[in-house]
Amino acid sequence: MRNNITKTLLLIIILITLPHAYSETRPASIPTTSFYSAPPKTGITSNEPIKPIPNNSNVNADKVALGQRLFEDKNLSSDGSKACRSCHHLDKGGADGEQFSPSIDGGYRVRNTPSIYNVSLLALYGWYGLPGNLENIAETIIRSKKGLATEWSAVIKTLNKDQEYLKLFDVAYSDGIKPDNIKNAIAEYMRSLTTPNSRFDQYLRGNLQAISAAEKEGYRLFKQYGCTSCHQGVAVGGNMVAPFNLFKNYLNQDVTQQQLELGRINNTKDESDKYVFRVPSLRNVALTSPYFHDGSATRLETAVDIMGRYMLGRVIPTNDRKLIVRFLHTLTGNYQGQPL
Amino acid sequence: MKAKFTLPILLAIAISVVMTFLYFESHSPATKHHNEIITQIELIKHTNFELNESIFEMASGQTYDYDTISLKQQQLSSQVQQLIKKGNGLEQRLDLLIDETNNKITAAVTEKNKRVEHFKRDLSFINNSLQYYPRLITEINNLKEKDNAYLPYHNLIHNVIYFAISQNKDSLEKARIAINNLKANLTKGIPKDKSKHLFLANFLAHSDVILNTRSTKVGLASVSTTPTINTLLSQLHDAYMDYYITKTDGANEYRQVMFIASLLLIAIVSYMLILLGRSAIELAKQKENALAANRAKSAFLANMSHEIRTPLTAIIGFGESTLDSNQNVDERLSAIKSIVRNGKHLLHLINEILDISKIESGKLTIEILPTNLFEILSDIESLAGREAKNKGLEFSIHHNFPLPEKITTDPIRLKQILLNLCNNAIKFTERGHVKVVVSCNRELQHIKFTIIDTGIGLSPQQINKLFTPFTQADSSTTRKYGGTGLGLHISKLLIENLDGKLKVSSTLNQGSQFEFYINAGDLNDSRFISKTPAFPSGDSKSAINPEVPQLIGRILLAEDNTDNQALISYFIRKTGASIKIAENGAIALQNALDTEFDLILMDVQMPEMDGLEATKQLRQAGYLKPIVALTANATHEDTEECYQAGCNKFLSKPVNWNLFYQTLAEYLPTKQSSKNKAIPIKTNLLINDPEILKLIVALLGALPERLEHISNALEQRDWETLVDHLHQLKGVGGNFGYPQLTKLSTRMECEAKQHGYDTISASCKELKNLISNMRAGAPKSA
Repeated sequence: MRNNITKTLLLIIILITLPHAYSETRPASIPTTSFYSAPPKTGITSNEPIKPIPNNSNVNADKVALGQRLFEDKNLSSDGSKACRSCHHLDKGGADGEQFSPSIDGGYRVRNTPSIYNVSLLALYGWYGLPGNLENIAETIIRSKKGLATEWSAVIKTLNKDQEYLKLFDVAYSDGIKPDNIKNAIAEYMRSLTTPNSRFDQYLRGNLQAISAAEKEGYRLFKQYGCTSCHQGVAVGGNMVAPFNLFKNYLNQDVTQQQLELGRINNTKDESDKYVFRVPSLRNVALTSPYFHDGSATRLETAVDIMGRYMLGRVIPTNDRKLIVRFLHTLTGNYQGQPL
Repeated sequence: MKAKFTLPILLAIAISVVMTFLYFESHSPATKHHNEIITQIELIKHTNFELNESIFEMASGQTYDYDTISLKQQQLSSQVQQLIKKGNGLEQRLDLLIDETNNKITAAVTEKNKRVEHFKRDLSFINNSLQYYPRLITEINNLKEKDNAYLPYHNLIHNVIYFAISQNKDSLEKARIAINNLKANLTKGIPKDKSKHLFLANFLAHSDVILNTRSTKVGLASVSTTPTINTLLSQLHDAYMDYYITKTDGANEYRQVMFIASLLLIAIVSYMLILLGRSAIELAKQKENALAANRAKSAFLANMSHEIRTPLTAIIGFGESTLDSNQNVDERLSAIKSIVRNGKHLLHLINEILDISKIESGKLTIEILPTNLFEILSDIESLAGREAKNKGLEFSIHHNFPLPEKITTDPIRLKQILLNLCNNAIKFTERGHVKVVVSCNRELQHIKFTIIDTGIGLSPQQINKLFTPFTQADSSTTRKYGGTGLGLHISKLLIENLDGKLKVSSTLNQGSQFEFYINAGDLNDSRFISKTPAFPSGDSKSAINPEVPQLIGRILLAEDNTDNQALISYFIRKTGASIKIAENGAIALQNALDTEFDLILMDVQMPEMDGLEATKQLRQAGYLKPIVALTANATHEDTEECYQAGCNKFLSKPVNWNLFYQTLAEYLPTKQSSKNKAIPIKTNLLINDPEILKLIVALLGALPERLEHISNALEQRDWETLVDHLHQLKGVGGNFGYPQLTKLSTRMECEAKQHGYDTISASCKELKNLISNMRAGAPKSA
């Protein structure tokens, strides 16, 4: 009896052990998932250089709410005087309307503040057109001496004191207040700042009556003069860099700012990036005066003129300029369903 | 038992430790993680491909915006970052090749992004300029000048267009030279129409853009980096696969070792289980045996008490009957005979029981000695032959020659077995004969004995029960033949102890045949003979009435039992030796130290101080006289204890009187019988003087009278008179040349002063002898 139990136990042990010891791990197989996905259809005129802004942005409302509070909270800055909002006003085309925004250190920022609207549609950031993502941009601005001039530890300390923040973070994130989440919340808020459904987007989507004949003519000229060589895509720019001295050396105008205005080379140290700046997005361009990295052009028509001379190597006649400007006005979109 | 398990347990622990180590070593690298990395590599390859594809689409004018390219650029960068992060997360990754390749890939992607940026801007510019160029050409064509001032511009247009189409290097060179010349001319003021200078400069700038972008960058230079990234990715893929396969192979090797280790562990555990099982079975067996033995013991005890009670009943009953004063002499004699017979039977029974218990407890000592076979056979013949003759049976020993003269066995036990079987055969045979056949098997070194009788025989069932203690073939036989029922059992056990075997075959009412052999030891050196050597037939030492030696000396008997005191005193007194009795060891010790004894008989078990303790103390006190132990504890250990305590000899109770007398004779001087062996003692004076002679003769004549006085004084315990007489005698002995007399008288005088009646009465006898000897040696009167 006892013997039988012993034998059975042994048999079971052997049966369990043998296959386990012999089961070898299989080498990783190469996954067969298809990476090919259909490119998004942005409009009926898929051959147009400009694409409409998608009407719906997939953002998390909790994070956006938190991000907006962070974006507007001056307490995050080192001296409590500045928030992101200080330079990016939603009612001023996403910027502040100044040539140079006042910075936290009492001076001014050295380049014109770009619009915060549609920032998620951009491929390159800042006037130097550097690659990155919105989270990194948020961090850069928070820690920059000309930005909020603060540190994560200080920020987290401030946030932890605020019951409202604790609540908001709890709702939006599983792991509470930490740099990654702060960055992500601000970025999420920025992603929510799209301005879809401009009249021109409606036109692109097939509503041929959305823009007037003059505006259509302006768009035609915009393309014909070659503006769309650079100002293309969903953001009408913002996805490439270009030298600002192609046909005339625009930058020689102001000697005092020359070093700064050497452009992208300051960052990349690449000789071919001398005088190179990002091609800015022209979305809501009618609202974002003054223009250019130095905010030197207050009027849109002037900006169009300068662009024609310096970038296209031709003089655009006044009439055409006016038509182009009329077209540019159709790029002003809606924020949260309301026209800007 | 413990030691048996120690090594396997240690081994099992060691193997378990090794297996734990192996278990950790046999972990495969994280397959999921590795798969993710490989997937990521493939994903990057694909993104890179998509990037290239979108670049081609853009360059070939299928699309007009850079969104897709920018998206793919972003994806490529972030995917590479993810890849590196994932790679760094891989445990125990020490592969430098992977790190190196990672760095190369990062650099290649950065380089690629840079080139793509260049591609984007260059494409924009050249498209722009090429689009504008036809209008510029038309305007130049419209310019009219007499001296062909615009001819170089036409040539430039030709070269630029040719280069733009064919990428012809000659055209490029020519166009560049032309542009430089024309720029120089413009600064010099050529052509003269200054209003056209701005236009011409603009034209030259556009031409420059076309030449520069077309020549350096727009040739889809970015695509040229594609193979680099793909090659690097493939290298990285291989590096990761190598790492993975190496790790997996290693893990599998450890796994195999672990398999072997586990088999070993199983083997050890099984071994231990088997051991455990075996010992459990053994334990059960032992328990069963113990229970059986216990049952047997109980049965044995029950039987024994019955067997012992039976003779005791007879002894007590007949003993009581002798107390009846009306019993006549014949009846009393018959009762006493019954008492003696039953007593002997009881003794025999107890001896046999002791034998059995010795054998069963393994305490039986077998003394293997060189033994004369024929001497034993001769003893058997004389002992068993007498029994047989008494019963009117024929007894014979048949020798199947040749037989070895000497064999190696325990002679006492062999004799016991043979005697037992022979007496058994005689007991159960009424008519006919009992025959012993002896033969030898040289090869097997066996001596075989067959005892054949023509007795009542046994049935097969009876044979089966034959060797069980206290079981005779039939309980009725006990009534008829007596016996203890232990004999055959003892014989069988003894035979087995002598490396032999006993077999019985029998036919009811016709006779039985007991056949056994024993190991005879090495027979090679033994002399084989074919004729019975002559032996004196065994002398009848076992006479019923022992021969009583006449002894001189004083014996101290230490014995607490009054019956035994009387019995032993009786047997001692028969020898003529004097005896003093001590009730226990303490008294014996005191007596021995006070008075001089020639021999002490020391009972072992006594109250207050036992015999052994007394002996020990005596020996410690320097006592040199012989001490003989008397005890009912007849085991080997008891004997040893007696000798260790300092006893010279050992006698077991009940006392074998023959042996008893032999022992006494050994330690005490024999008395010369006055009748036959009177030694004449002569005076050592020179008897020349007839006067003295007369005086000596007179003295010798007066000595019996004087002896009578002494005896009388002794009987009356008149110590003073006694001392006076002895004192005179001492003087007489000295005066007339009889120092023996002086010595004895002196001793007796001392004894008389101590009022030792017994000793003096013994000495008195001595004196009587001495005097008669003196008288025998009396000088003849002249």
